[in-house]
Amino acid sequence: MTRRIPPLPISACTVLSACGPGMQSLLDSFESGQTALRAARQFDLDFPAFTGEVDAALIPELPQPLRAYNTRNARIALAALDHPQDGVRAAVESAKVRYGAHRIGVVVGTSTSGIYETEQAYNEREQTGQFPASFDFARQHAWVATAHCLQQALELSGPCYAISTACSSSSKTLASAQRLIAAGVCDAVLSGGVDSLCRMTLYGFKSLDIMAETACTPLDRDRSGLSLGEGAGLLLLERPRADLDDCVHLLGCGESSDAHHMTAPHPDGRGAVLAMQAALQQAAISPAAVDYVNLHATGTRLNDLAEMRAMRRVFPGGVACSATKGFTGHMLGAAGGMETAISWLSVHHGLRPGCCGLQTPDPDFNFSVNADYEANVPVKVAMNNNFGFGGNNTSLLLGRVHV
Amino acid sequence: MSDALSVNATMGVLGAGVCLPDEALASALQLDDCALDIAILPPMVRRRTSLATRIAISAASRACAEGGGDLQMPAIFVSAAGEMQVTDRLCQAIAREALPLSPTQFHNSVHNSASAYWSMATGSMASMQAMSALQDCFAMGLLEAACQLQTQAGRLLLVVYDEPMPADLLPEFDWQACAFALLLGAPSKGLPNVSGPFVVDAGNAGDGPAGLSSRTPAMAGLPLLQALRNPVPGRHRLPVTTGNDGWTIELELP
Repeated sequence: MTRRIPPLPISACTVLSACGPGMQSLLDSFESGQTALRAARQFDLDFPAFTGEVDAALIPELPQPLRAYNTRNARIALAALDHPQDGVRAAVESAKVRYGAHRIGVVVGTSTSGIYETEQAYNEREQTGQFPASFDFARQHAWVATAHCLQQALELSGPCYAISTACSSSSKTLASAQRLIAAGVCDAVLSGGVDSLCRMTLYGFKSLDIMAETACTPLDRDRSGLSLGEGAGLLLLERPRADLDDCVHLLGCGESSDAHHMTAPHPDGRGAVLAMQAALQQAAISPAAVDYVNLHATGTRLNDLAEMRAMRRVFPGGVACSATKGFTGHMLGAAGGMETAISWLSVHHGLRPGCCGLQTPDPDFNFSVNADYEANVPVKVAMNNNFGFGGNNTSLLLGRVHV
Repeated sequence: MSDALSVNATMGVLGAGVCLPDEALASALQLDDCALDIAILPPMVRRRTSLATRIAISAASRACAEGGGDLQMPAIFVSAAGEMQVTDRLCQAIAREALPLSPTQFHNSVHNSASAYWSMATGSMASMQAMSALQDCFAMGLLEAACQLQTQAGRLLLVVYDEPMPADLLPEFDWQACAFALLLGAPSKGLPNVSGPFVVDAGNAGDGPAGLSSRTPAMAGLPLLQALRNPVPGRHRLPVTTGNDGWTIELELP
């Protein structure tokens, strides 16, 4: 007997990125239409690249008993958690009082974890023959390190794990969180993702020859690749409750695989179509009821084209859609958390972000995209797409349960 | 926090497979049929994939062969450190400024490498999960499996694996290459049935081989594997973690 999955309220959400701390930073960026991408400063690279670096103040060192988790990834996660206006920590604390620490899960997506610190440790070993004393692989680099750090910071004792499926990592955390609640294992789950810039991803994407030399321009006819970003998007998913009925809800999740290639998407977006259709089916929503799609759209030639072919299949009548990586850069393992938060904003405020940097939409798409910011538009249902290496696809639907 | 998961979340075990390429260790643990078996991978891919991916795919192939049936199903791959050997080579290349990086090494360093190669080899377009939970890899994988089967009927594959760690990264552990896979579906009278994982006090976690705590997280599957291979009818409590937080399952053997 399978259980029907009910819409689940997102009781709090927050972001931290190059655009700044908190959900307000995204509103400001969307209104101004200005990119937060700049020529790379944190790293001395031997090629030109623009990056979305987190400039917001991070605590220099984690307090005890979290000291061993001290990585940029963990500091970004904690800064997001502690954003006062967005109030994710307060929402978790309140869920803890209501349900108990053991009923709250932590499922965090990341593609980098603390590799930035591991790179520094390897550098030091090259010089001295030894890793620095502060290097702690299990608490810094192991994929679950940031999830464990958040769990301890919040003194939670429910299930805790990481998901790392490259660029779909943190979208998949929402699907797992949804199931943990639907199956009755948890009453609330802190989900989303955290990623930090590092040489591994910068030089890695460079080696694949898919990095733009200036700020990325997803969906543009002349797009030339992606720009990397870093940051966090955290969302607290809870079981349905009358006093949360007005919250934006997670309505459905779709997951699929391309079964095609390690880095290239299926040219017709076959897996992307399956993911979007699965999300619509789970939510029992028709494509025509979707008011906005936040595309994965990284800015590489192949990815954007494959996704738009998939969009034509799923939305033959068209749909308002845009890409936001021109604002933040591609946050990889945190992209799903960030862009689910953007879809939350879209429904919560009734807005559709524009495509930062878009000059001429690629005519090959044969599909209309929203270049410009729109405020005060009714958005009952928003979709968020994220597709990762290995053909790992996720599509999420957010919306209101009653209007 | 006992029984954090409703024990109603019972799953039927349709097949199990293990891969432990160290013959001496396999023999010490009285395990047979656990060599590498990557016949499912195309020859060009075989050469390119890491030990982590190869042991994961070996155990997965074995569990699916035992259970039979279609390979078009969701899969959950769980590993503490994932593609750590290739990540080690990339970190060394960066430290020595041996640039540019190898694009193949880079895309093979993602944590979902094994699940991606499995999806491509089987043609499965279902959901591929890639998780991590350090010593709780098997417990959290079982939890994800139980939740997936509660919310979507059918069968799924669970694979827990790790390759040996590069020197000095985890000096307190002694991780040998080990992968353990289960083909899971609806519970049934004639099958071994396992509950979803739950937490009990460390003292009630049932019997398991001593000294698992420094072992590869996938070895948390050994108590279950041994119980499946030498079945004693009835209900058994088994630990499903190499950690000390008490994650446990109930196994019911016909």
